[in-house]
Amino acid sequence: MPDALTPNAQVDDVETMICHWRDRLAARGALSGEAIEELEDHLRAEWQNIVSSDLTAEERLLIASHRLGDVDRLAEQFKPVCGAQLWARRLRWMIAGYVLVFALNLVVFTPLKNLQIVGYQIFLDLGTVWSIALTCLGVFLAMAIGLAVAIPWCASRSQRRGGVKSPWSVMTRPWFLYTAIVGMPWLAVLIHRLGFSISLSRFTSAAEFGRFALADQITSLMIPFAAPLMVLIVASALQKKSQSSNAEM
Amino acid sequence: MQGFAVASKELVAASTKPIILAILSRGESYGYAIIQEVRQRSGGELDWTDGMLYPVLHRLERDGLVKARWGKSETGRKRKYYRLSSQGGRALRVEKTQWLNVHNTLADLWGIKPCPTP
Repeated sequence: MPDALTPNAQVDDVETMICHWRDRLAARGALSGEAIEELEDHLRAEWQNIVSSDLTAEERLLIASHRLGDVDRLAEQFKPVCGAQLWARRLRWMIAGYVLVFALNLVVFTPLKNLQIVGYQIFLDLGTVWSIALTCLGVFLAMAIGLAVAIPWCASRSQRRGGVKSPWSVMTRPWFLYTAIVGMPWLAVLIHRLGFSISLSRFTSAAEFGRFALADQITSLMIPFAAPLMVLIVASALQKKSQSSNAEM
Repeated sequence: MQGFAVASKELVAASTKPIILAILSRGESYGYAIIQEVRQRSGGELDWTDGMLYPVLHRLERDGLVKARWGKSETGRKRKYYRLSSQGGRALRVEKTQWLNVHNTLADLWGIKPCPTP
């Protein structure tokens, strides 16, 4: 495991080194953005405090980072405290996301419902409005939890195996994580619902619609598994690509 | 015999909480300054690894013993400052009694003058 601040031909600037150090720390998935910011402040303070005319700025930063501790060990020390906090925050965002998605869903699909009153009537006969609402909420919840696990896992695995400049570090940034967690269920449901709305007009009999509605319910249940799976597939494909390009170098 | 004077891992871990609370009872501070103060006051005998302090600070914050705020450092960068909460003040008094009890028991056994208990 190369240290985060090992100087090499590409890394010749202190700010770039600090940036890489931050990325590697973030990729461990154990530290919140604020915790990383606090450690960076410490690193910079330590770096400024090392007064020696014999050492370059990069060498002083290297010493400061060693004093602060190895990136893996830092992440390990933070896990018991920060892990729970991270999950609590992700959960808060998820719940906020579902409420938002659910409200948007109602606003967007109510006009569609009026246009397809016949189709919806049969749909509602299959179950109550509440059961549909609960299914939707369950789908969002399962999908977001799947993403919240898959994204940091992909990023940390990629960081453990990959080099310093892995593009996956961006995945552990809070803005990416939250956008993906909240946005992807919404997008999936939007596409799914649009497909459903378009298909509705094609039915001529109630039995045909009944079969379709069943298939629709099964698809809804599969969406939560599909999205994290997609993340995993894309992650391994990109990782293979970066490994082969590393091998070429 | 310097190696014997440096506190063991267990002792360092146990004393972290009262030391942080005691430093913060003197006023607001931040991670780097806390570590520097511990090094200076212990004469280097309490060797804290720098990264170790922050999980402890965050745990104290979570337990309501310290309060944190984001401010600016002298260079204008964001810096997290900690101060003692009233609950932390009470915890510090309990810690002080406990540590002085241990100290006085040992002092008595070794024939050293004990410290006055609070």
